[in-house]
Amino acid sequence: MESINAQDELAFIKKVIQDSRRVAVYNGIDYIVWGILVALGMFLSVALIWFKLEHKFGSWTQLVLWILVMGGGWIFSLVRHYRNNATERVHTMSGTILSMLWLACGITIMTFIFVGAPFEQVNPTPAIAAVLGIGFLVSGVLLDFVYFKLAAIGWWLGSLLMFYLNSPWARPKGLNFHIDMLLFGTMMILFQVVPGIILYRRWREEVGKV
Amino acid sequence: MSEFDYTQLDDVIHSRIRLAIMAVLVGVEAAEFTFLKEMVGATDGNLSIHLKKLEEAHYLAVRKEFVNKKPLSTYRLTAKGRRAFELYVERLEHLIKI
Repeated sequence: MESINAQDELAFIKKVIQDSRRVAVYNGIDYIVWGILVALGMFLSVALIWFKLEHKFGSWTQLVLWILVMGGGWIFSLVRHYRNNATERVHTMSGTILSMLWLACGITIMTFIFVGAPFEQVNPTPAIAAVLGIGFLVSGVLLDFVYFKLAAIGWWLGSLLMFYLNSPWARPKGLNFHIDMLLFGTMMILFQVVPGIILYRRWREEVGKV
Repeated sequence: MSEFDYTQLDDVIHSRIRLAIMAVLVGVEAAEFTFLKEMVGATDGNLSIHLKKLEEAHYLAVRKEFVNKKPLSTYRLTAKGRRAFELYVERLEHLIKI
């Protein structure tokens, strides 16, 4: 009669589950690419205003810049999503929820940029920062990644600051209306690109362990 | 360390390879054949035989498709399979306490 050791069997099960989850950890590339793109867009946007390039090239330059930035990001994400779906060897529920979460955040942010900003003449950056706070908190919980949870707090504090900078109380004191765009670009680097790189390194380590 | 009679356990799961397959699929939503092969460390033929056995017990569901003209088989646990796995682990834990 065959007999086995129950503790060994349980330890084996635990190891297999941990190993497969390690490989299924998300690698964070989208955060890095989108973070760099948007930060670049923000800095270029401010440059267009400060160096009065809009007068030289026309008032539509801002719109074209953001169509290029957002379009580039969406093309990258959609191509990656399509390729991953075709070749990804493992699917997780948290991965599906993450995709849907950022799709929802992306659509909301696009609405702020391409509808709210041109038609309502409001600076969309404080509201976008608040939406990113939601995205990062939920992502941090799903991925069990503390840097994203901290990034969420950073985005919300930044949102408060940017709302203040765009308020009637701040503007008469001589604060630059577009300083929040520089702030947003910097936040993109600090609260998206940097945690994205840390997540990517964690993914490399986890995959290497298996 | 407790030794116990293997007949107390689910025969379908009670094999190193099938147990490993179930454990991989419990941790993720769905996994492709090559991923399972890599995680379990079995040959194509051996893995196929064990997957077939789990499928026949309705513990696994498989989706077969062609991607870029290559066959792709994706496996996921069924509700019955998940329950059987949970029961198997519960039984192991119970036996340790005896």
